[in-house]
Amino acid sequence: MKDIQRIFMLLSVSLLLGGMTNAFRSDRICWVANPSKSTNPGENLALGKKSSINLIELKSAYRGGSATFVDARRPEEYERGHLAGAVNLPASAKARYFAKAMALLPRETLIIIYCGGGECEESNEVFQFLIESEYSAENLRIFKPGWEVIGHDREIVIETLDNQ
Amino acid sequence: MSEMQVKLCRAISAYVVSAVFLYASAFKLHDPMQFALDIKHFKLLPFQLVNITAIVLPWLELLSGGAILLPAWRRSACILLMSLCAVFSVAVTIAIVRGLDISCGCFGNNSTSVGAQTLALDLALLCACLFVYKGCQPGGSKSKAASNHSADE
Repeated sequence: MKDIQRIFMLLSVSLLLGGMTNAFRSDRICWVANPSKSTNPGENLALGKKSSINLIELKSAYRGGSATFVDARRPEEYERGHLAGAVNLPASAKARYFAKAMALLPRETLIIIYCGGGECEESNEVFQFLIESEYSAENLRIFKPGWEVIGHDREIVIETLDNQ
Repeated sequence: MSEMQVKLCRAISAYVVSAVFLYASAFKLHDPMQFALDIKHFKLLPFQLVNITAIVLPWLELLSGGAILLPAWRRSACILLMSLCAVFSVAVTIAIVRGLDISCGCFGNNSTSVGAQTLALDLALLCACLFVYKGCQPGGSKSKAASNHSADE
């Protein structure tokens, strides 16, 4: 019985301290996040639907040169191969890479982000990061099938870091 | 192995488990936003529960990691830490099976990717907690052997 009381006490104190410290932090987070207010397309389904593009749209933007492409995968994956002209902004180190990539990402043009494909989350994180960096959601798109499709498409030119 | 050696091993295990959890909680307390993101990547919790977990869990690790060093609280802390390790092991196993290439979120920015190494660490901690727990008696009193030893004296 004493053990249960102590476990309950540890849980209660954790809840209390967590709440108190979070309330006084400058970077506090909401206790319960509201998906409809999220700027992450993976959480906010309406935003996810609006920002997502298909292969035909991607190819059209690629051929027309109307978009800048962002590869959200890790640098080593980017080095092995990426869509020609894509800028690497790895989700794992966005802030560090953004300083370098910012000049290549004009705010007024369309930016298409992709990651590995399947269930990858990097595109959503980079999308959210760019919104927080004052890019307009209207100019941001995500190609969800990602590298799994881009890497196997014959119409898309692939670059590796060796032949740049 | 003599009783004294087992007791010493239990004490060392308690200190090691405590150190690991205190170390892990420090990173999570420092950057709860990053921890929330790490939890989200596992895709196991409903979106609404992610932030509350990121706020409370580091404190639970910190308090339980400290409490395991106090004889009166050891048993309760062990139960909590064993539960945490079991949950972490299941989460890591599911992530491995689903082929997710994500950070384990164990030690903030120093975390490794989810994999066999992470699972091994969680299981090792679970075993260590179980070993420490076995030396405790309900209610935080001394173990039977230790009580008998004190009575003999």
